[in-house]
Amino acid sequence: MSLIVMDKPLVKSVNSTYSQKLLQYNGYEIVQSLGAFHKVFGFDKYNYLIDINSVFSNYPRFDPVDRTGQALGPIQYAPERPWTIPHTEINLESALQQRVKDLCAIGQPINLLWSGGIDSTAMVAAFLQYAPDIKQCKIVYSPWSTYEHPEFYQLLKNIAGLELLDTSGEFYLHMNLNGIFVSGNTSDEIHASIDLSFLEAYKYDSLFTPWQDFFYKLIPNQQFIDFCQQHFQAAGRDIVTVLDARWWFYASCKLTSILNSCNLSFFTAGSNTFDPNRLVGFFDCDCYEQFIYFNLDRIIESDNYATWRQFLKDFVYQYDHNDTWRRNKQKFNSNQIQVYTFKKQILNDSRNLMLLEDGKKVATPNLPFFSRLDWENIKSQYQHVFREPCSV
Amino acid sequence: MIVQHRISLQQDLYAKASDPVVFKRRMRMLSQLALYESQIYQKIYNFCTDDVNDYALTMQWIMQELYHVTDRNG
Repeated sequence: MSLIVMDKPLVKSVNSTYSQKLLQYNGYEIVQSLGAFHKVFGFDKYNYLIDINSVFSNYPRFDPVDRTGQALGPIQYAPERPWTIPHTEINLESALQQRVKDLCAIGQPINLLWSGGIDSTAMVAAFLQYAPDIKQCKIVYSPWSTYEHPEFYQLLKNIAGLELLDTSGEFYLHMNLNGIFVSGNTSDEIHASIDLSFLEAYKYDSLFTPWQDFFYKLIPNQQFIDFCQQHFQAAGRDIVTVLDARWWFYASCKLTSILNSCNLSFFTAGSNTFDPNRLVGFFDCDCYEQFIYFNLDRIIESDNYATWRQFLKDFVYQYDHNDTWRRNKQKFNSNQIQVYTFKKQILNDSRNLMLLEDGKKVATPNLPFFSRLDWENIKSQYQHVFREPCSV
Repeated sequence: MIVQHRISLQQDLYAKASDPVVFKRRMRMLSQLALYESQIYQKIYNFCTDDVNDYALTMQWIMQELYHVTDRNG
């Protein structure tokens, strides 16, 4: 893929460290801050998205970017894959096979970012089964991947023609690989982003209660409920339960947030010319939505947290026959990439205020020191990435 | 703050001198810490602002940055 030259590139991600200052320096009135989010005067619908996020998460992070276009915020993010209602159901195997086929057809080297977790292991298992030529793929991992799933690492080591690349030590600081990078991130969001703290606080059964009651208890505001009702209609299917609402919110508004905010920074920190299109979320595609849209009832099978995305573990089991992992593995918050990302940004001195869709970093020379004077010097170049209040 | 992190890394270096992998990692972190230190002093010197809070707030972030630079998981 070649780097696209854009006249006025929009935003891929905003560095949350500076988001409040950026909004204030551009004249927005912050009416409330929730976690790392800021409600902004004149963006009522967007502010309601932040409310939804705060209902679902104790510490909401990463700006919601609405794929339906109904509730856009003050920052002009690059358009995400627009939401389209799936009309034809396909099964899990067909969805994964189609995804692998589409990515392999690009004809470039494929770097599979394997963390050792459920999503990236399912992704790698799909490539191992469906890629026409496994030599097109390379497993990019860190020691933490092997700690999290040592059995699968042993299996990978024994596959003829499959290259494994350990990124630890100095390597990740100066990594320069060809081709595309495929990440398991976007899986949490497309599977309703169910976190253990939510289940512990509200219990499993709450997922199957009417979302209106649940929302109203936490935010007793009828206008908020009315907004949600309107937004959820865009799903094209009934959104009845808390689980439905959770899936819809994360799939429609947060799908690529972690990918763009964490993973992308990892790659752009080392390069001035990294094309963001080279980083791909494996589950961010129409064909996977054709599966999950019709199978929301399978997202979590019981009050055992380990059954969240059980079908992905079952899929891996068909390949590696590791029954212990299939039964017991549950989400583990591996922050290895984030640790690497922060360190890489700091040591390469490539801290940024925002990342743009053409890969350019918006930065000032003295970051992490940042002042109004700094912004005044460069803001004229970036007026186009800020929306007028009440414009949406 | 930087001195504390350096001492901690140096202590690690001595304590785990018999493990060549850990020893090499700690040596690498010490050199990275030195790189960070030189960068950040220059930035403090160059920074101009009309709001003293800019310094106070950034000092909190510098503590986080130091943590990332010297994080044993990294």
